Amino acid sequence: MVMINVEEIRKDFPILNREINNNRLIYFDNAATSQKPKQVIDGIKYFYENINANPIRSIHTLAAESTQAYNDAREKVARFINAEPEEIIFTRNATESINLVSFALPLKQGDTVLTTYMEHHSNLLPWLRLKDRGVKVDLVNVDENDELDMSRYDELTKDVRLVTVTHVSNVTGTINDVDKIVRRAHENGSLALIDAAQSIPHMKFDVKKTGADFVAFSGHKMLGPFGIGVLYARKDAEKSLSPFLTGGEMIKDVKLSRIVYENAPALFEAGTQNIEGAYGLGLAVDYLSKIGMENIETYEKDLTQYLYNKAKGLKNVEVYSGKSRNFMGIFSFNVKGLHSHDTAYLLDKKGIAVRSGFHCAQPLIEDKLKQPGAARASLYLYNTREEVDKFIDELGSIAEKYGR
Amino acid sequence: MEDEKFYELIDVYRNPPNKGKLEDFDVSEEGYSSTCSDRFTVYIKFDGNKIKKSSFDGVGCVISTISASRLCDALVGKTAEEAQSMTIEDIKKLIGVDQISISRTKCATIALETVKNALSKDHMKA
Ligand SMILES: Cc1ncc(COP(=O)(O)O)c(C=O)c1O
Repeated sequence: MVMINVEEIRKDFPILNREINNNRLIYFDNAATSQKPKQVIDGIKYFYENINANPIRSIHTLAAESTQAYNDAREKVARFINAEPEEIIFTRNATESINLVSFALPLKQGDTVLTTYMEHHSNLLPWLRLKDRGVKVDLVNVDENDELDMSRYDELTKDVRLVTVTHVSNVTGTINDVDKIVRRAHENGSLALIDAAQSIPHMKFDVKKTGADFVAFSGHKMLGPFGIGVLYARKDAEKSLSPFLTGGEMIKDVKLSRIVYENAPALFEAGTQNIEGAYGLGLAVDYLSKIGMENIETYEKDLTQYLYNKAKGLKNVEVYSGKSRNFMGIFSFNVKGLHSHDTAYLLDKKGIAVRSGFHCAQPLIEDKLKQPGAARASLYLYNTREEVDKFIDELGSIAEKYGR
Repeated sequence: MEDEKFYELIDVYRNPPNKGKLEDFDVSEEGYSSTCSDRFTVYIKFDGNKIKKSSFDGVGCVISTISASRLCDALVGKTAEEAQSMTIEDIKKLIGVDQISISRTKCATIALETVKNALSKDHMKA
C-alpha cells in the first residue's frame, strides 16, 4: 500500500499545533471545511503583496499578471479533474454552483428533476424551489444500508430532464456509483449533475470518465480558501445554460438594443471575481496533486477502517455511517441518551472538533435515520491513528459517564 | 461551565420540569433551530393579562432543554410585555452560567425566541 508521510504533511498545517481547552487540537470536522497548508496561506499573502490588480479589465503589467494568475488557476483546476479550462466556472462554493444550474437551466412545467434522499440541502432546495414553476421533483430512496435504490435509475421516464446526485454522502460516507447513474441518465436523454463537494477533496475524479454534464464542488473543503467554488460544465452542456448573473465581464458588446454575451466560462462569471480565492485554490490543487489523490484516498480509507475497527468496542454509542459497501472518511454517531451537541461539546473539552446537528441533510437524518441529529467525525490526509485512538478513548469515557 | 455542572444538568435534562403539552392553553408556537436540530413547541396559558402557566415539548440539547424548562417557570406571573423584554442575560441566570459560547447561543435562546414569537401581536390576535 502506498502510504503518505503524514508527519511531514502535518508540518505544513500550522493550525494543527493549536491547543483547544488545554489539549492539542484534533480536527475531525473536515467534511465541514478543511484546514489550509502554509503553501496556500503564504500564497494568498504573496498574491496581495505582489500581484493584486483587477484582472481582465486593465492592460497594465499588474493586471496582466493578475489575469495570468486567474487563468493559471483555472487551468490547474481543469487538469486536476481532467477537464478543459473553458469548462471550469468559478463560483463561491458548491451551493452556488448548483444554484447556478438551477437558475440557468431552462426547466419548465412538466419537467422532472430527479435528486435523492441522501442529499445535502444544497442539492435539494434549489430543485424544490422550481416546484413553483411546475417542475416536478422526485427523490431516489435510500435503503437501510445507506445505499441508493439504484433500480430507480433503470426506470427513468422521458420527463426527467436532470438527474442530480451526491457522489459521497456527508452523513453516511456512502460512495455512490455515479458513473452508472450518469450513464443511465444519458441513455434516457437526461442531463446529469454530480455534487462532488465530499469526493473531489478525497479521491481522484475524472470528469471525462464519469461523463457528467455538471459537477459542483467547494474550494474550502480541499485545502483552498473560503469563497471559491467550481462548477464544471461539459462543453456541450454549457450551451443548455442561459446567462445567470449579468453585468461586467460576461459580455462582448453592449448596445442598449442588442447585447452580445461572452462565451463560457466568462459568461457565468459576472463582475469582479474572487481572484485571491482562485489563486489559493490553484495552490491547494498543486498541494493535493503533489501528494497524489490515489495516495490520499488509500490513506483515508485505511484510517477510516482503523477508526471503525476501534469503534466496535464502544458501549452506549450508536453508529449511523459506514454501512454501505463502499464508503469513506465519515463516522456519524450518537452517544445514547445525549444530544449530538452535548457530545460535541464534551469532545471539544478534550480538544476534539466534530460536527453535530443535522449536517444540512435533514431529510436523510430525520426521515431515514430517524434521529434528531447526529455527531460526525470526518477525516482528512493530515489525521493520524494516534488522533483516532484519542478520539475513541475520549468518546468511550463520555459514553460511559453520560450515555445509557 | 464545567463538566461537573454539565453532569448535574444532565439529570434535569432527562426529566425536565414543565415538559409536555398543556391541556389548556391560550397560545402555542413552534420554534426551530436547524443548525441546532432543536425543535420545540411552547404552550402558554394566561390568567387575565398575566401568564399563569407555560410548558414546552420537543427535543434538544442540554442547554436548549434546560433553558426551555426553566424559562417556563420564570414566565409565570409575567405579562406578555415583560416576557418580551427578557434577554439572553435572563437565560444565563436561569441556567446558572456566566458565559455561553457563540456556538451555543442559539441553543440557549431558542425557547425564549419561540415564546416571544408566540406572544407577538399577530399570534395573540389569532
Ligand atoms: C455533499 C455536500 N454538498 C454540498 C455542500 C455545500 O458546500 P458549500 O457549503 O461549500 O457550498 C456540502 C457541505 O457541507 C456537502 O457536504
